[in-house]
Amino acid sequence: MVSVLEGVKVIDFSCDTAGAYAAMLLAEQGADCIRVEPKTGGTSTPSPAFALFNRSKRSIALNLELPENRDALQRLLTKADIFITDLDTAQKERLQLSYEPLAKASPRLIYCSITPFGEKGPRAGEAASLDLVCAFAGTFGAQGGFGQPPVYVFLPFPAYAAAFLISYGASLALLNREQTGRGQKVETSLLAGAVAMESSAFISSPTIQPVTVMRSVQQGVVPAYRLYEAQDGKWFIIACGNPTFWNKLCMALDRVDLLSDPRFEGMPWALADVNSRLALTDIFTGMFAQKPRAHWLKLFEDNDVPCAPVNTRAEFMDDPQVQHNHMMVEIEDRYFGKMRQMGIPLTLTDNPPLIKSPAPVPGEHTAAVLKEIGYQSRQISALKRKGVI
Amino acid sequence: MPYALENIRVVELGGYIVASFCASLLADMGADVVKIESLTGDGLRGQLGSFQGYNRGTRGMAIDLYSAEGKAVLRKLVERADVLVQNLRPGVAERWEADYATVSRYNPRLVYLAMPGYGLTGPYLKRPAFDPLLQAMSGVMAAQGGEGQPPVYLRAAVSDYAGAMLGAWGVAMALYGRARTGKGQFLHGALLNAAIAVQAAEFVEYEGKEEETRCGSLGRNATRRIYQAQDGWLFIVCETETQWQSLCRVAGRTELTGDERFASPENRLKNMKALSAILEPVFTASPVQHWLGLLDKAGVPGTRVNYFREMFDNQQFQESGLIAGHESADLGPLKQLGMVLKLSETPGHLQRAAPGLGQHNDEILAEIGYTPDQIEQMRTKGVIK
Repeated sequence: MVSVLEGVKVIDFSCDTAGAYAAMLLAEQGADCIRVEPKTGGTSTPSPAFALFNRSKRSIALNLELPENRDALQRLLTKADIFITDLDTAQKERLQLSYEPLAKASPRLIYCSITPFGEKGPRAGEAASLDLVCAFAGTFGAQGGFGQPPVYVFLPFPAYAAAFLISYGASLALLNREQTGRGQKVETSLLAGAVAMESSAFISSPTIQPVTVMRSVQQGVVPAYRLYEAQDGKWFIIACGNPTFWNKLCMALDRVDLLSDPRFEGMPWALADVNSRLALTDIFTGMFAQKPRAHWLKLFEDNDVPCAPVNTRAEFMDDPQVQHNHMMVEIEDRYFGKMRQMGIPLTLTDNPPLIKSPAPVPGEHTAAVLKEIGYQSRQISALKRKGVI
Repeated sequence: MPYALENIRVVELGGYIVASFCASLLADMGADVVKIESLTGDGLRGQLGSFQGYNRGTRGMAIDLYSAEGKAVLRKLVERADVLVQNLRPGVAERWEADYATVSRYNPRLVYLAMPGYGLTGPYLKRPAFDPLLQAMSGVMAAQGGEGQPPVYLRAAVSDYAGAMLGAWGVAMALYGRARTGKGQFLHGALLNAAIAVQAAEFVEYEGKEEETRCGSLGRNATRRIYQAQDGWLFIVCETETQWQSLCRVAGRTELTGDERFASPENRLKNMKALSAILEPVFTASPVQHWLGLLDKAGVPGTRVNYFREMFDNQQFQESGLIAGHESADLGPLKQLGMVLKLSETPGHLQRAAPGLGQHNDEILAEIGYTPDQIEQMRTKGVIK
């Protein structure tokens, strides 16, 4: 049984997370991925994130200021199926890596591009950091809630969304190429990633009355769908997302009176009146402060009420279900030694994925890859002598 | 121009977010998605706005899948389908005769995606799963709150969205595999896996790992944070020494460049409270636009902190194709998310707004050969809405 992308060649030329992550996801579903490191002469130590996002890839280091190396990259691209890059338009032009000429030379190439704001519009081409894109996109505003101060979101989820979307787009383009024989350009942006993960809130209609919030929503809005602090200072969450679970919650708490209380009609979602919402939140806050967290979690689990403790990431790494799913694996990294990293999140049962290797040392496979694309040993030695590679 | 998923038929079972949005992403690329709900509807129908956001582009049926007639309808739909997407609790698919072992017998070309909460097996198998539970368990909430502070619930359902995107990617790969082998297959992830995948860089554990810095709930430090201006909020990012000096000029506080407390990135980090206290009143004194003009001239990255409701007419959003409009059965005219992924030769499109409950029952039943009489009979018997 081979992985589903076996035989697909990916060239990853990304500076940031999204592109490198997408390439790694494809590599672990079987693609042969070569990461191009822009060789600048510096010897910076790879980061722990580098060790994760470049897993299962080979590495070639090329100084693209030199025409010989640009030639080598062009040759590499004529043999590739997928090219992933997050360069901006000016850099692409300067390095002869724009879509049109590459597509002309290799009509089967699938060209994936990730930029901060997209390739059109007044902010196209702006070299913005992820958090600046989030501030612009509305992510921080949405987290604060309208009527409250915005809140900085620490998790860089738009970059991850862009990685997933590019993996999806590249795979769609592969599927399409089976029929047409032609590649195409696949494009997303951090901005698209930011709103793609908020499609439920990114809606405007004259019939939706946007809620202006009077109180902080940082622990949740809906009383049966929010965080609470237990007596021992430990936090947990309940998430009763339909009337059935709302029933189960009240029964578990021995508070069936809440089910018939007219103030709470329409729970969990349709509780329109802000005061009823606050009243119910206060009832629960008071109740949950009476007993330690373990008591509540046991009670809820026994009664099929959706609940979970608030863990740190470190705690979650040792969680039995995480272990069971092989979502934390031990990797012997070249720089960091023994480390634990996330596993593979998606399994095709007939084509199982595989972590092929730890992240390469930058440039580790330069000679081997050049040989594969037709360079003679003599030529490679000459390039080395000249300090080109 | 054909769509990337032209002629691909999808059946979606389960609803809420992960299966719905996954199916919606497939619909964006041209797939014909039939969403099947119970007679009482998807658990998120009570939140009409959210429901629109998760179910855009699909057609909807409401069927009692516990009835024999309902199961027969489902079978006919799955027989002609290319993809089935579900996020059902264990045992439910079996009761509907929609588990992989059953359906693959009569449709071996089917690509079957299961996206359960915790996995196909394991200690948490029977637990209910919703995004906030995964956010809480997996460390998202503790990390957003910060050490010693109450945990914070991210408004974006990140594990659900990640699961949906990973699922759509998996389906595309399995269809690619099928194009070469002729065979469908079973693929699966889990919300739990997705919760980790959407925090990937944090799920790296090594000796000497450091905590990230933070400036309350407003940013990472005093020169990378949200500031309140006179009429709104402003976000600035100062990464280089040049930008720091420019920021001091913009703020009209050039003496800060000579202040030992702020003389290096490390010092500015150490004294971020003092620096914030100096800059806060400066920014509050003038409107956002005033500051953006100055920051732009000085080469310091900055932006207004926006709210979604303000962005539907924004030029950047519009030109990026991120806004789409439709008439919804439940909400009337609405604007919502457009295309988040662009394919040059097979571009996607938003096919329609989310369906009303059972909106396409008759249309789809007719497609699979039911006569108007049979449809009416099923309706009378309470098999369909």
